[in-house]
Amino acid sequence: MAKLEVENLTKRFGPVVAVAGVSFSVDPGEILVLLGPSGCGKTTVLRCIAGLEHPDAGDVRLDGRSLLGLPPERRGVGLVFQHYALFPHLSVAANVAYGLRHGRLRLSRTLRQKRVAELLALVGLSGYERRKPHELSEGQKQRVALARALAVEPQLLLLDEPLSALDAALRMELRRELRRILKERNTTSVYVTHDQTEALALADRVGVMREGKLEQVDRPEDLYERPKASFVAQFLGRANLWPARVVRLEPPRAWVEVAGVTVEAEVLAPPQGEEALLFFRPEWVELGRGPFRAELREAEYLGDHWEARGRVQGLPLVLHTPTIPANPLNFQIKRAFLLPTGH
Amino acid sequence: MRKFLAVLWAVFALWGAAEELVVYTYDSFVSWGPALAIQEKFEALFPGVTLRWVAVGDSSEMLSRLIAELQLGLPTADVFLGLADVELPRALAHNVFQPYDPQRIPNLADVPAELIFDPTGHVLPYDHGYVTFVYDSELLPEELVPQGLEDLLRPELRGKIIVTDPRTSSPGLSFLLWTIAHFGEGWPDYWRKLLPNLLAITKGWSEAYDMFLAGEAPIVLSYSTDTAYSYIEYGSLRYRAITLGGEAFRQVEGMGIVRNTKELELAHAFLNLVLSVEIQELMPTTQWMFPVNAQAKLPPGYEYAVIPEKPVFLEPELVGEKLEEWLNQWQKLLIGG
Amino acid sequence: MAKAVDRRLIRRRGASLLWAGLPLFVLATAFFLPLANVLLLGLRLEDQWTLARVRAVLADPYVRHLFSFTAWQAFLSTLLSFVLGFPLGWFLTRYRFPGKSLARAFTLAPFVLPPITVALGFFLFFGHTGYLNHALQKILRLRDPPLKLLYSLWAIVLAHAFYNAPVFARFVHAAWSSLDPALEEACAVLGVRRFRAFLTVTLPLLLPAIFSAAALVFVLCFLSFAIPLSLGGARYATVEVGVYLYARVYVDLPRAAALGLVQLLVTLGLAYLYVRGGGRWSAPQERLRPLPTLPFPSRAAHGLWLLWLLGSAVLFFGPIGSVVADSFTRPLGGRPAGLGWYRFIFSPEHNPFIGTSPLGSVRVSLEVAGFSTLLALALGLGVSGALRVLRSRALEALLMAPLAVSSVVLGLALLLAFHRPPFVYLSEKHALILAHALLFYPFVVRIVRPIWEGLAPGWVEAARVLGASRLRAFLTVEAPLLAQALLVAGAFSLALSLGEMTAAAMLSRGELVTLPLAIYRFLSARRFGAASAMASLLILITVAAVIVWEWLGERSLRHGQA
Repeated sequence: MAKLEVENLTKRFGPVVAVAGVSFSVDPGEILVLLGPSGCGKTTVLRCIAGLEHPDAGDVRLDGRSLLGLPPERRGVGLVFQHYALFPHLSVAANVAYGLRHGRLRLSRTLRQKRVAELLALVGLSGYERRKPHELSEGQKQRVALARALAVEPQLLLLDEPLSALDAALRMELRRELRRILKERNTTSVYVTHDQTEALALADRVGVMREGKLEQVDRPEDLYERPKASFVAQFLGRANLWPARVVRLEPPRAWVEVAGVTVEAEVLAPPQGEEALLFFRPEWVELGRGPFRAELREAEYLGDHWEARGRVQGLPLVLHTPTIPANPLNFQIKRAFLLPTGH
Repeated sequence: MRKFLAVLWAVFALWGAAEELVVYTYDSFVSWGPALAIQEKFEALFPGVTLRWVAVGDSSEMLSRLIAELQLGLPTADVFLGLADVELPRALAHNVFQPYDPQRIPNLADVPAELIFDPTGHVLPYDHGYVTFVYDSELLPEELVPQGLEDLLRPELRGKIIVTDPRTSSPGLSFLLWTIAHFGEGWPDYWRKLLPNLLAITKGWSEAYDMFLAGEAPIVLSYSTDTAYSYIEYGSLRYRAITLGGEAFRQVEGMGIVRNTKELELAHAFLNLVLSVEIQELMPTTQWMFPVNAQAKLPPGYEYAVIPEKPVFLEPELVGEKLEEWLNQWQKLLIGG
Repeated sequence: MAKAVDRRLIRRRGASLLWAGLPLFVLATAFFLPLANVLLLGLRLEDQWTLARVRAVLADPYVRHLFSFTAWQAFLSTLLSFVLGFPLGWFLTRYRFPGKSLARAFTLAPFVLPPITVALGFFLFFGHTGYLNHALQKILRLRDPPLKLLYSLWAIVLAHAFYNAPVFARFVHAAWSSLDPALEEACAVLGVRRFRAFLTVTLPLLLPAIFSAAALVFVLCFLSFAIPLSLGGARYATVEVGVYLYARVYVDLPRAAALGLVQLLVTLGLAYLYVRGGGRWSAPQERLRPLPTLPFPSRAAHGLWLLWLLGSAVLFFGPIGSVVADSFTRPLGGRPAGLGWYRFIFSPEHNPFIGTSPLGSVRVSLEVAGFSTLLALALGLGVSGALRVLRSRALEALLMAPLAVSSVVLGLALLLAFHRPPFVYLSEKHALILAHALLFYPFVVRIVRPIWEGLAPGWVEAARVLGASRLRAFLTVEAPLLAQALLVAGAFSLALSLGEMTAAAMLSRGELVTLPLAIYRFLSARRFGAASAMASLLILITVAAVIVWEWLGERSLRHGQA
């Protein structure tokens, strides 16, 4: 399996800059998830890697070799499309065998049949060989699309929101299975999604994209625990982001004043000037006592905890509590980070 | 409801019939203008009556529409103008016309007897002309101008002659009949030898003449008045009509009163009008045919119109009897059978 | 309770059947009964039903020769139309360039030209003394014209391709632009080269449209009459010549009907085979984004394809251009005419030549074409809808009869239908509008049905669940999705109506002179230059009408979607 390096990738569509200087690398066998809201340029990055779009600047290298001069069919890169793009006139088996028959490998019929059987077994669709795509459920189509992409043994597999058309339960089931398959085969993968849960569950590392830029690439737990930008903090999980005034800055520690209280926080990215954002997750608090007094407006029961929303002196607040919370509620922040304001 | 519709229909039909005389003809009779002159005269003679021309297609199209309408019992024309003499037997077989009353057509007295091709008294002639060959004097060397039908077989004329299809065009049929009249039983042999010299056998006269004008071939099957036409219209004698050994095939065009018309009076008046000297003198420069009224004068320029010494024609009855056999033989000959 | 629900369901189904069945009923009474009346003449002998006439007709070896030649030339013509039309469809789908809608509208120009004008264009361009030979002689310094194309089987095939390549181009264009572009991308990332991807994915998915076009083109070429006679010389006669001979020359309607019946069975049989066979290839697919187009000219355009395209352009524009050139160069009073022939056709004193003013002809032709197109679209959609409910392949093939029947037989059927109540009460113009709609709705069905079948049912279901009635669901969901097909179908219908002759001749009571009739009038009066000018005017009107139609259509559909 190959190592992918993307360097300073830029792509414009007319006046619109879809991708603005994105760089990252993916190690052999690693799954990188590009996460971001729709329109952030993540699919364009994928299409540039696959060769379906030509970047205006930057480079894409696979094992150190630039792919840019190559047409898509010679890149050895697999792609699973958002709506699968199964060939409607071909059976399941013919779809999976397509790349083996017409692509660079051109396997013999016997070998092809063997490989198709293996792959359909891998995705749990043995016995569906003769079905046509329109006779399959959405989940089955997805598995066929995966099998088809894996059949040609690409050095790198790209997946473009492959689970977005499925219902929630199936999505959970399939993403576990997907990760199992990719890990089993040790496939270097780039996976694009707008679903943060999917990203956290599936990825070895997650890259968060926003408006054509890559904000942060990290392991899921690091991204969640130590986001480097307010956007990342907000996009992944619930976040409290309070405007604060820096009182003392001694990296890696800082003291800020917020709602008349001075709080100690860790510095991830040093702020410029006095203005900064105090970031803490809803569960990073100690309830019952402390300098902050929250006026709660609503609380939702989410099974293993309650999610409560309210305000502290006009600042919006979200908290996780193990039992139904009292109102008003005193609390103190156990752990917080200082983030630069703005973007 | 049905009664109401019947009454409505009757009123509609009466209203339609009382007001007009419907004449079917071929389109060039209208486009060349004699139709308009006839209409003006006719409507002046019968104030309040409209003369309506229906002319969409050539003579055979209009005749077959008329026959179909009569067979299907549909309302149709009162008079048909433009029947080729050789079509007579078929028109009679389908009982298209009713006999005219010579008493009511005084102008008939001026029509020579030999032009009255229908002995049964249903169809009257209104013009006649001759189908023959026309050559382009700028493209065809003088020594190659054919003098007789056999000259058309000269090897130098390979691919240089355009004729029209006897199945779909009236000059085409005339030429076939001409060869039959001339060679008798030997006509298929003549055609077999003629085929290599034919550049094209077109569907209609217009295509053939258009190709001829474009210079595709120097000889075309057309009419004996063509030189007069190009002289009168363009002052040119480049295109010259010829007779072959003094021969050309005679065509007489006729008109008749449709079987089920209720407008007998108007129809007879119409036939009489078409045979009047005034209208007959329009024929040479509108139909490019000769008038049938012996009193009618030919216009200046018509000295270039060729009149054959030996006009060729076949009795319509014989044509009616043998036409299918001849055409079958002709089409088989064409595919080498 | 359950019973009540059942009844309601039955009523619903009944309503949709009624909705679909209404156009079928109108068609049946208005047109199919008279058509059957004419055809059945061939099965009657002295008040007895008999096959004797049909047998007698088929026993004639010449008739059998006609059938085999007709089928052979129709096959070759369809093949060449495909070979020339497909790249054009590809080009229209793949590239964008200035004047694209103009070029697209131009592809319909041959449809409106009377065969005689096409023949003129062909011998002016391909003839021994034609422009092409002239140019080649100059370039290659030859004494004799190098191309001997005309008056042969190849001239017929070429002229048929000239008429019908646009059918392939349009059908392929409509189907191709509704393909999901991700399919080709999927091929690329699976390591499949572009050409192979085209052969294994794109082409199979275009097959329903190709089949549909091929069936149409084959039938049209099978029924061809004037072109084989005019360009092939009389050696190459089609079955239609036989029908003509029986009906017009021997005036033997029953025999003509017998031959017409056999001819119709052959063409309908083919249509049925197509409907059975072509259906197998269609696969429902979702289209998620429009197919991207490349600017032209551009680097990505392949030289070989472009050369091919250039060849088709020569074939296509050569004869049309020659007719237009002829309208300016044909001598008038001994001098090249310049605008003379145009002044001639527009001068009031020459109006008697065509029995009306040229502008009157233009107005009549446009009015008839416009209204008959709208009616044909309504009828075609109704029939397509009915076929979705009824699912009868035999019926679907049968409904193509107006296209598949001999024009001689068709003329008689129209005569019969339109000279009796209820149609006899129509004015000449309204009769012509209705007749054209009846003649051209099969085109609408052929274009719309494959694409309608390919629409995922989910969309309509979604609309119904959201509370839209079936009609409303059609108008708001299916119609916009069928937009491209409807635009193409309407453009065809428009062009066909502008060039139609049979119905115009049969239904005329001497009042309406459409543009093609005006051309014939000039020809019959030896005004060849005026005929060329009139034909050029017809081309201009057609191109303008098609452009306006597509522009209006696209605008209103976009508006409907918003």
